[in-house]
Amino acid sequence: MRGIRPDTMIRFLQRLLMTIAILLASIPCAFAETRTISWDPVTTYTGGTPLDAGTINYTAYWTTDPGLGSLHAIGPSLTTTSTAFDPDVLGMTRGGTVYFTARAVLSTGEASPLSPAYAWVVPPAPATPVAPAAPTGGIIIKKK
Amino acid sequence: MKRLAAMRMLLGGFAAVLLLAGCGGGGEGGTSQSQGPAPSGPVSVLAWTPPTTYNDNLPLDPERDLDYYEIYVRQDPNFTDSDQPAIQIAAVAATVSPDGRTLARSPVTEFTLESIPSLPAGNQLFVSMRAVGVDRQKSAFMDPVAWDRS
Repeated sequence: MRGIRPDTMIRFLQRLLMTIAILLASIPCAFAETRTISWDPVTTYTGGTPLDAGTINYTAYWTTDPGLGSLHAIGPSLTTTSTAFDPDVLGMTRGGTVYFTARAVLSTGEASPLSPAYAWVVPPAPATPVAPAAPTGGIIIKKK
Repeated sequence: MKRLAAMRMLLGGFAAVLLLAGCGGGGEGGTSQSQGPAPSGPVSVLAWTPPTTYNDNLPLDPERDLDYYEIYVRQDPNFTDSDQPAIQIAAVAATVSPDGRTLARSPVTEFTLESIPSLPAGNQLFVSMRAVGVDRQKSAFMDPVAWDRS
């Protein structure tokens, strides 16, 4: 972890959050209410020195605070570059705006600052189809 | 005049084709009313009132929102979700106006039970039905109606 500087991680995470924004806007739900956030792996330091993938974890957060207070982690820390979430399970308000951010953490415990917030409007819940009422007034008439 | 007459014949033929198409049962490839045996002699006609609301009490337009009905026949009145419909019939019929120029859509509200291809044995049967919306949501069963076939 030699030579790592906080501004290195900030720069890479800005790129990471841009990827999140694109995916949230373009990927349809594979399941009813599952959304996926993905990002490019952070592979180098600012100076171009390769970063061992095994030494870095990512934690994605969401919050309703545009100032990124009161963060809620989206699952545990990940070595992978995507995670799925259900807006209802996480307690996001339908139609409300939430803000995503993320941070990279090295195995040494060093963590980057939070990346800039990415705003997302939680889509309305899909309408549940309602069945028609039953027919009424059934009668059998004999006709010639 | 000849052209007008020919045009009327063409429109009439088109209307007849649409009318026949309207007689088919909707959805899921079920048996349609037109495929049943032609009844002879007195027939039993099941009549009903189409639903005008959804289960959440929002209004429903039978001509627009219903796709077809499922008619069920049993030897007892205990209809269950696992029962298979005896026949499906379209919820909306297209009828030609008296002058043969226009087609009118109207809700189907009756069905000749003898048109059902296969019926349970017995002279005392029970009939029920479910309405199926255009989004394939099925209503509950209509209250069973006793059918005396004797």
